[in-house]
Amino acid sequence: MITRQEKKYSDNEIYNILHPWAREWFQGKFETFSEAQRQSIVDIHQGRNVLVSSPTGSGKTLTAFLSIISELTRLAEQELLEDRVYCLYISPLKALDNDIEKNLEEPLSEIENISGRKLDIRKAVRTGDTSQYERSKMLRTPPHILITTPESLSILLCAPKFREKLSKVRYVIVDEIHSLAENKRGVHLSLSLERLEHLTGGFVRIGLSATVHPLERMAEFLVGYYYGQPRDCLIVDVNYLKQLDMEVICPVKDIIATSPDETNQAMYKMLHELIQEHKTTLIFTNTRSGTESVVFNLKKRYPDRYHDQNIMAHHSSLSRELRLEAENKLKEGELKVVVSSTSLELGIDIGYIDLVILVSSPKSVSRALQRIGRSGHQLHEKSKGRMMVVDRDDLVECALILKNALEGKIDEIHIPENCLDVLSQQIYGMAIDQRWDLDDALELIRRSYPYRNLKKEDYHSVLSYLAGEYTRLEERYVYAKIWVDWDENRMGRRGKLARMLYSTNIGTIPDRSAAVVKCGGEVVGRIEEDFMEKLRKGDSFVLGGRIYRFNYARGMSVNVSPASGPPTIPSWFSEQLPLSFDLAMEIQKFRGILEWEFKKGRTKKEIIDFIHDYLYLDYNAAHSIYQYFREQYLYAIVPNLRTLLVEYYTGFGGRKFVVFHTLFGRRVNDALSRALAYVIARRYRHDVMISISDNGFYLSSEGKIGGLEAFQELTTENLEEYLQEAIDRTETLAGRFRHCAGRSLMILRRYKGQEKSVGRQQVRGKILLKFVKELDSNFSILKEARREVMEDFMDVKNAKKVLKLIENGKMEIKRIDTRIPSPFAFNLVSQGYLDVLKYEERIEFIRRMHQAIIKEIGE
Amino acid sequence: MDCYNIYGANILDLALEVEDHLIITDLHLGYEEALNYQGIMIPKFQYSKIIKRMEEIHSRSDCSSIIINGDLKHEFGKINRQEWRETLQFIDYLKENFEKIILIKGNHDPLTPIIAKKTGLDVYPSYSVGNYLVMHGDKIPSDWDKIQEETLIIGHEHPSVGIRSGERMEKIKCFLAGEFRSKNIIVMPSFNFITEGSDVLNEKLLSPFVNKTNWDDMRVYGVENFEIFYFGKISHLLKVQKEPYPYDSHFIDF
Repeated sequence: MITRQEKKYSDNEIYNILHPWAREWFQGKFETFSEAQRQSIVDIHQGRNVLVSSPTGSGKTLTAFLSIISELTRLAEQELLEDRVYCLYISPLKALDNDIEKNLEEPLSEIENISGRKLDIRKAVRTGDTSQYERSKMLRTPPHILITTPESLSILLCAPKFREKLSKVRYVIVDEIHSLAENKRGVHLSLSLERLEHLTGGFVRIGLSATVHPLERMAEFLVGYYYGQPRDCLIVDVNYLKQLDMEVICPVKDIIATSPDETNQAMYKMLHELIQEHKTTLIFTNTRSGTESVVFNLKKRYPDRYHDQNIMAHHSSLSRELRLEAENKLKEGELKVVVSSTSLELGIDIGYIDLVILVSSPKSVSRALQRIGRSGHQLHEKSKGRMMVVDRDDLVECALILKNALEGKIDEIHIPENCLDVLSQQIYGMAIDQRWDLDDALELIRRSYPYRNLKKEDYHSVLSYLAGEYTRLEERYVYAKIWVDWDENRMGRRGKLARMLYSTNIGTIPDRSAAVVKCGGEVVGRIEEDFMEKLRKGDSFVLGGRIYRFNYARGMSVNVSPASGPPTIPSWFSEQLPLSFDLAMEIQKFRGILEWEFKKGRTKKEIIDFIHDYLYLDYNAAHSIYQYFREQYLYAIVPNLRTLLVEYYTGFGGRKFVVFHTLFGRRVNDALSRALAYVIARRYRHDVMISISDNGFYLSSEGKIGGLEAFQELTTENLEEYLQEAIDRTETLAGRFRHCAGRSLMILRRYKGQEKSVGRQQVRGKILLKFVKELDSNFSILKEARREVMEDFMDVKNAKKVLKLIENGKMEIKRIDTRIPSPFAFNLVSQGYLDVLKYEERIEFIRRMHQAIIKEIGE
Repeated sequence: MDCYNIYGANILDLALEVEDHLIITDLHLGYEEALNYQGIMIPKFQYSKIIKRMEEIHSRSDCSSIIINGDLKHEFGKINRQEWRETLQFIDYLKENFEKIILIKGNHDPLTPIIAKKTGLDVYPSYSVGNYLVMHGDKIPSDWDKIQEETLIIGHEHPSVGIRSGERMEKIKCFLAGEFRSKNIIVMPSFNFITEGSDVLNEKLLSPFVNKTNWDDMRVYGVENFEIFYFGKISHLLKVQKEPYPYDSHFIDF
């Protein structure tokens, strides 16, 4: 059962369970225990699984490790410590692993000093960076505490000799578990833990998490299931919301009346002032290019204050050396300011930060808390964060993030389920370990939370794929990774290279390879395959803070030259963070309340006062929100939780646009818009253009759209079916398919001893997809690519919730016709990213375009 | 219309009819196995498609000879298992259906002579049919001045054309026709189904026969399942296809 911790142990109760040397060490170091320590240490000692949710830097290393160190000390004293691993620590980052090793150094060596003898409790880090020498050393004298990453763990599980050293692991700590759980790395880890459970017969699981909702689900993810029921777990929730000093700030007095250029200018001025008022500032932007741009502009605008020595960028596209340099300089206190996209969100040690600034909305409450939590790392110190808004939608979003954060409402976490690509990898790993009865293997897989409901047919389709059954029998020896004997109900590994192939190719993070961009022969960066396809001669785009003109592409290499002036193509919408559904609903709710205030005929002052109180905003910001909503109210209707607004207008050249004011976040809008485009395309038999943003979407076409009628045809019953049809006709699937094929080991990164250079490996996702569709439309990898698009990239579950609201009559659809887009629509139209739903057959399209082109060129 | 004439040669789907000769190019047999060696485990599916298309073309043509204008097989350095089998099988198929088979050397073909020997065929650096000279096109022959023929027919380039409307883009294979050093030149599309080819509007050229001076004036003949679409010159297409993006550059992308 999953239960909440209700006990708080006293100092004495905790000291009583600690080994005297460990106790003496702790007493010499600390006055007392932190809240999280008080609630977890005793239960860990008693062998209970525990999930701890507490702020980063609140002594969490010791929360997890203290009773374990104490146990190891006891064993060492009694000379019972064997040469094997007792405790596994797993974190998402190598840097975090290294930090933890350092943090353990002090207690271990000081306890040894207190004991006055040689305890020899060993710890070691094992990641992809660990040298061959260190690895063999680890095998000879294994560490008692092994610090590693999810990927390295799954490799160790398949290493015959080291596997033995893991066979009696007693504790497993998963750090930053929330950041793993929301993607396939976590899914992968959860299966590795079940494989380890199978090997060891059970261990204590300790999870460390940031504030997420619901913690019960996170706990189930940590501990897994046993015969259909979650294993026991205790949740320790140390709420730290009260320790937040959080505000929304606006660089100009009136964000609506001020031009973008002025806003920009004011933003940098304000950033500069805030930085100067503090010791060390950490700035978060939402994209890598945004990060580059902030660094560039601060240096340019204040050259005497910011230079290479005191300001640095930190994001995942930068080289490891540069990132390490930034981290080290931060620790040494040499940097005045560091700017990051997402890479500094997790708890690696970056020294003392006294202010976090978020430039533009972080799009979810939990992300805002995570980022702001990076400041004020000493115990009992408040975290100080400022959310700086750059436009009006930003303002509304940040205001509601602030309200929800202060009131403790956090967005719901999404954990991917039944991922068949990750399953392929893990079944391959399991087959390498031993031969399996098919039912026993399925039982093990279903113990992992994400697979607790795995369907037998999906399991079988993965087995069939791994056995190479998609190829002709006589060629199967090339493709088969395992053998499956369906009659005997057994499976096992195939091929001599299996172990090597497995350990060199596992992992769930897709190669961010894409196309190489070269300028004057020099590589300046990389762009995604589908982005490359959109580029045409003469187009310019932003990469790494610079503007380039596209010349030509050859294969997966793009040639560009430097350019100036505004870019003609927006870069990477796919990189932008989606607005969380829960936050979106809160914004809708607020819109509804505010519309009601207008309807009631309240005075301007009354409404501004209301906004000020309700959203904890200053009067400038409250005034801006008032203006924005008032314009929309006077011009049209304020779309909200009860009213879904559909706006029709006709653009240049008679092109029809239908704007859906569906403020549900991009993931839901992605699903709704595509399913809807499919309904329309099928009805009127033509292609439909789609543009999607967090606040809504629009469809456009040269022919009839009839958006309202189409919306009425869409129901909770047919949504998934239509969406599947729709994504088969858009570009989204090919790229995903490629990644899924990589994770399923259909595309191997390393094969027969050679690492594949990215360029040579790039067969276009589209072509792979095309031939797999011809093969079997239910091929397991194809099925997974569709699932990933619908459930992880999009949010079909919440899209259904929206349709349910409409079906129940809780949300009403209203139509308006406008000559120019309404204020809400304007932002939406200018920020969306584009896709097309192809309905017209390829040959029809070619014939039609041929006619049009011939007419145009007059031949 | 399933037939189009350039410089007296007939386009017949991905093949070209010149007098009594049917020309195809760049088959890249064995591509899948080469991909397998790189760790991309896609099954073999091309061969049956190539044969099916060949049969269809053959049924619509009276030519008694066939010319394979280079890159019959894919792998550079070695001959893989699949290539052996498929190449020999393919040549057997051609022998059954044509009176004469002419192999031209391509840049992927240092080892084709070995295959040719096994099948009793010759491999030519280039081949003359009346007023046409057929060659792969990866390099300009050193005895250029001695060439008498008026029209050159090359492959190697794998040309295709990306047709766009709004966000939709479809790539189709195409023939190119233009001039090179006061001769006519025809560039043929590849006869394989794994790659789409390179978009002539966007991608860099490979062959020394196509360059900045003659590129813009090349005429484009798209081919899709036996239908032929004449699109005018490359320069025309570049002009017509240029639509500005509906993008507001004031939007600051943080």
